[in-house]
Amino acid sequence: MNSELIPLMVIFPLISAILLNLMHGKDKVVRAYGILAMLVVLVVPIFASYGNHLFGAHPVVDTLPQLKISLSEVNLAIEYNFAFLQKALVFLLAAIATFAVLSHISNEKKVSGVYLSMIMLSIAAVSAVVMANDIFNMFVFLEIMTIAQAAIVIAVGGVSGYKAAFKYLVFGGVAGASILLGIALLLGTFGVLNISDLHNSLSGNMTNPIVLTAVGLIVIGWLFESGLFPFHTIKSNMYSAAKPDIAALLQTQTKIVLVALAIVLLRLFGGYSNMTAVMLGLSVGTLIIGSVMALLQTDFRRLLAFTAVSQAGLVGIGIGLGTRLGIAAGIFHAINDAIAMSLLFITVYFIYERAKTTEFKRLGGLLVQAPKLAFIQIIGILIVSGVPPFNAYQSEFRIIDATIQAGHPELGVLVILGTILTFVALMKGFYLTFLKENTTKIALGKVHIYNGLPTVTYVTLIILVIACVGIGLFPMPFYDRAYSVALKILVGW
Amino acid sequence: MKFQQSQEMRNLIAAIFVGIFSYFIIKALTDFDIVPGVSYIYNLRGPLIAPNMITVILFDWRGYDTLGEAFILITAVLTTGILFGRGVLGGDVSEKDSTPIRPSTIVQKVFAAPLVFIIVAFGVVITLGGHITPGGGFQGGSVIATAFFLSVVVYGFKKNVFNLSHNSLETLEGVGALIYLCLGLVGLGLSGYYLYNVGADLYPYLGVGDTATRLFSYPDSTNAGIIPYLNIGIALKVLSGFCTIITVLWGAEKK
Repeated sequence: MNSELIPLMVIFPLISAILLNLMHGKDKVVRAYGILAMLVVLVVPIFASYGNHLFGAHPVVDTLPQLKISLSEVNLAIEYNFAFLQKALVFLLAAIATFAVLSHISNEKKVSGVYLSMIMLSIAAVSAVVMANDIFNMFVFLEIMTIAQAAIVIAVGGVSGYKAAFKYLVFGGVAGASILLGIALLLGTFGVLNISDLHNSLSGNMTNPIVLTAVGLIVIGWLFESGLFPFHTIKSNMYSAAKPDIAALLQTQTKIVLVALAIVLLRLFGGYSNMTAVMLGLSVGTLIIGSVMALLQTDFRRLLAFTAVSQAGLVGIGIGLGTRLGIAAGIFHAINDAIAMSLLFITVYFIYERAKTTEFKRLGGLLVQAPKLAFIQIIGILIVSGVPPFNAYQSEFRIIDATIQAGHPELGVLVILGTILTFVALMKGFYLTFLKENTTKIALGKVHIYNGLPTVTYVTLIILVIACVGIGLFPMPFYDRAYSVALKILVGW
Repeated sequence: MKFQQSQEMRNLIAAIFVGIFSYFIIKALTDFDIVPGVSYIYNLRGPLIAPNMITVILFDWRGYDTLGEAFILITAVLTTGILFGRGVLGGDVSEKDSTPIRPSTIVQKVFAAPLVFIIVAFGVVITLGGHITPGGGFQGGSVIATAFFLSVVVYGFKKNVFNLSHNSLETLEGVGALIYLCLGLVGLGLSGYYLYNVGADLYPYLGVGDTATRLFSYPDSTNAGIIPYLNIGIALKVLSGFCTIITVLWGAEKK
């Protein structure tokens, strides 16, 4: 069924990006249009009906013998799919992006149209990656996402930001080239780019060495875009160099892209047990290395950055198991963790805005000055560590369950260990920020939750906590749908 | 092991792995039997739209991918701007006016002006005839951008033939991208499919002779629909994107 609103989820942010760039310098116009545009971005995924969209109206046609492909029908157009999973991911992205944009608009004295334009471009790109059922279109928007994210970090300025963005762009170039070469090999071998068509062509061609090379190349791209093991420091540098409110958006985007690309990989190459083994192994590595690195950090932003990376590893473990339960739990955890980590990043944003630093040696004793912030942050730490009744508990429990069901109870033990390490690292951050006696000369003055920071950010935190509790108490509507997605991936789209 | 040695060892390991990697890629490419697949149908039906198949595939069959490619360029241009201070948090860093590094000779000054006009005319021809002859928006835009670069090198920023400031270039780029986006919206509004080629009306959503198809008729014998207009949008965008990068980098050199 054709749905007219599907392309608008990508096109509207693109138009807004152009307009915001043109408005740059006119402060009031940028503020007004920024808020208006975010409202539209939030509303469109809610009202879009499920279905697919064929760009350019090019139809699905019968194949001819000259095509030399084994399918009976072939898709001529670029196709976008929109179902519950896409709706949930696009809405989640829009919600976190709205918080980021509102926080920028209300907290900065001088808003930057170019900066908002980059946020819009990244929203459009990630929405496109989530919905695209065309592997080349996915690549194009992954490239836009990489450059826009680097630009968001460059705009903050400073040596660490430039270094992080430079490394991100260099490795992004390598990973992008790797994905593109993989796609080219697949296109040359099978003559189609539509993922459903490729899925049908691939069955029975599993031993083709060209396909094996393509699998390897695309998995490298997946690892980079999701910030998993060999690339974990690059992603965490990006998170810690960005402003914490934007870091919340960046890590949400990473988790959404992780899920979207992993689904494509499983749909196309799910038959290769070696591929899921590689995905699983590197995800376990990411979980352990990420949580250990988080323990070692002396800066709250870097601590959170590594925690976010290790949680991405947890999502990867669920999906890498390759079983129905595992995939469903992994997708569910991606959504839950994106919300929970955003909550923590925004609490750190409060501290960063007031103290202009997040280094532990210069912080301390904030509990007296900001008791409400401390309360929200401790809730956030409990959520991320998987304590009931919050949402991450529901998904982490299911991931551990899935590891046991899949016959790898030792992985379940590793997941529990990783979660404990995460909890310890986050509690260390909490202690050094809020509880430790403030001995430094940089006393924070009267930092108060209502003092100097707008209610917008405060309301954001409340909404995120409510979302966490809500999904934690009523997980089944989400989990059931994630489970049906997992069934579709394994049985056939 | 000293630092120097560990560096050498690391390079050696990297070289071995690159070697293994390249072996597999080359092996994969040598026994490669290319399947035509969808491109056969693209080529079969493409002549119904316009003679230049590359343009037809780029702007009709895969028009939405081309939109994405155009936005990669826009994002890169904006990022270059941010790198040099436009739009960073806490207020823009002002740009300085810059002059040519060394004054041009009289020969350069005399010959550059007509050459610039010829190059611009050539670029315009490539753009406007993109759907019938080899060329298109990307190529035409880059050719015009070379003319801009030539005039900047010879005459400097203040007195060059184009006389475009950074802001007007940004506006031009925005207009180019908006032309593309809005032509797609026309298709969405009339047929329900984004980037539907309204003028060509390959699948009869509108009926030939409709106002919309006549709106996009182009003064030649082909039936290319919105493709020539998409070419114009892309040309504006590529031209101003390259010019913006030149402007920004030129200003950076003097700092």
